[in-house]
Amino acid sequence: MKQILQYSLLDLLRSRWMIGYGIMLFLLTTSMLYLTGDYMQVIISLMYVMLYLIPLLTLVIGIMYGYQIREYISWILAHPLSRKQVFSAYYFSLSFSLMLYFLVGVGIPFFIAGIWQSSAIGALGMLLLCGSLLIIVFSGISLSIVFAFDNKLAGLGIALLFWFTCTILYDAFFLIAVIAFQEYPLDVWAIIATILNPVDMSRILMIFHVNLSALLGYTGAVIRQDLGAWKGTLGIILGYTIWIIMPFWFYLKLTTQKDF
Amino acid sequence: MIEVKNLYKSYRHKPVLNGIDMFVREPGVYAILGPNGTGKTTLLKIWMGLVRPDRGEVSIQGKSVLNDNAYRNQISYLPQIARFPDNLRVKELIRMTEYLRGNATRKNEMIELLGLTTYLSLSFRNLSGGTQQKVNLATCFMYDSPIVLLDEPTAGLDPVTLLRFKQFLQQEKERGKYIIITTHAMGLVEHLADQIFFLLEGRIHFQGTVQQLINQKNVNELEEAIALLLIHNQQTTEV
Repeated sequence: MKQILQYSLLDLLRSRWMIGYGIMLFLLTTSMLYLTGDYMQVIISLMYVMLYLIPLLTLVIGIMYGYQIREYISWILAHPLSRKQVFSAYYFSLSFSLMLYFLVGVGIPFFIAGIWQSSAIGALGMLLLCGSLLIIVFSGISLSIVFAFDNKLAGLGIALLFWFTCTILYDAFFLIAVIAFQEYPLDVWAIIATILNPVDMSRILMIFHVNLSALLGYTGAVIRQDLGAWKGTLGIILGYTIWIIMPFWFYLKLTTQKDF
Repeated sequence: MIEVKNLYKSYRHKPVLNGIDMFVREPGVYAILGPNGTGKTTLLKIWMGLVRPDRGEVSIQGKSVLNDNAYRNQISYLPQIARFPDNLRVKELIRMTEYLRGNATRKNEMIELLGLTTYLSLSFRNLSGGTQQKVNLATCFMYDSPIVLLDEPTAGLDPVTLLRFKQFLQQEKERGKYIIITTHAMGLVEHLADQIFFLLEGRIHFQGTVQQLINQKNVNELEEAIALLLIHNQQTTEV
């Protein structure tokens, strides 16, 4: 696995798309810091970038990289290696390189601006953690889609639909549910709905620890009220564990049985 | 040495291999021929563990290859379409291959034979299809394995490289290797093959030497004999 990991990292870290992704995050963070000068305000703005853009970019880059792997994977698999090791290595290198460019692109401008002297460093840490978790989850989802759909366009379409459901449709569905079932208690459903959506989990986790109750929304408020911030955090960690393990397990199952 | 017993494979309910039985016991060059879509590549891929058969058994030196990967150390495999990571350089891919399989004994010899010295520092995204095929051949033959599986090895090669490749394959044959090749280049088959397996609709339709096939069809060239085999099959199907 080490060998594949090393070379796929080399391939990914040099990829123009990855470098562009890192530069875009760096310029965005730097310009926000330069324009406002207030760390917390920039972190809140970047929270929305993290919640909407990171899953989208992870899916798009993951899909493109995955279909590129598919073109030469039979050459790799013709070597005396186990499929599980080969495909695990690709998953780890994709999530690691996306995380590295995210941490560098967002983190470095804050450190250049001197955030370590400010109390906002905890909020930045939470932003970087939530973004990294989203990257791991969506890397697994993108690679699962790549090996489940032979057609590149269908794969990209499914990935975009998944992103659209998690970020935009989810809120719309939840609002409709709240209006339609306003006479019933929705607390348990709110918790389930949050765990079903990794983007919502990141949003709530972030807001719990940045003290911005106004941005919690319905699901966040229910979780805080019913479970408390720390229990809610534990619930969210459990949710993330499921979201990280399930796509990875599905991806490995798919790739170990597939014909190449 | 290599044995295939009662092998079946279908893709989305479309049968590709319909009960293949094959034995390769002596060293030599074995050509698997047949029109497109008859399962030649699928057969090689099953040997390499890239495709899982629906039914049947494939063994090398008496050991089943299904659910194993160590046996691949004894095989040099050339896939039909070679694509490599765009951002890697040729020398990095060669180093990566050595990382995956161990030190290659004929690395420099192959680089020189295929004229790849000037391309070593270039990334794959800057290489033409023909040069990528040369890299494919280099990574396949830089190991001195007893078994060689080649899937359309001559596709995209220029005449000079093709000539060198034929001479190299002749030397490999003389060194006692088991070479199994799928190709549409009949010149290569006539020149090198000891035995032909002609696949049609997922079955072995003819098995024998080039001369036996030519004699059977009473023609002068292999290409003609193969064409007659196909025409005869079409007429039988229509009837």
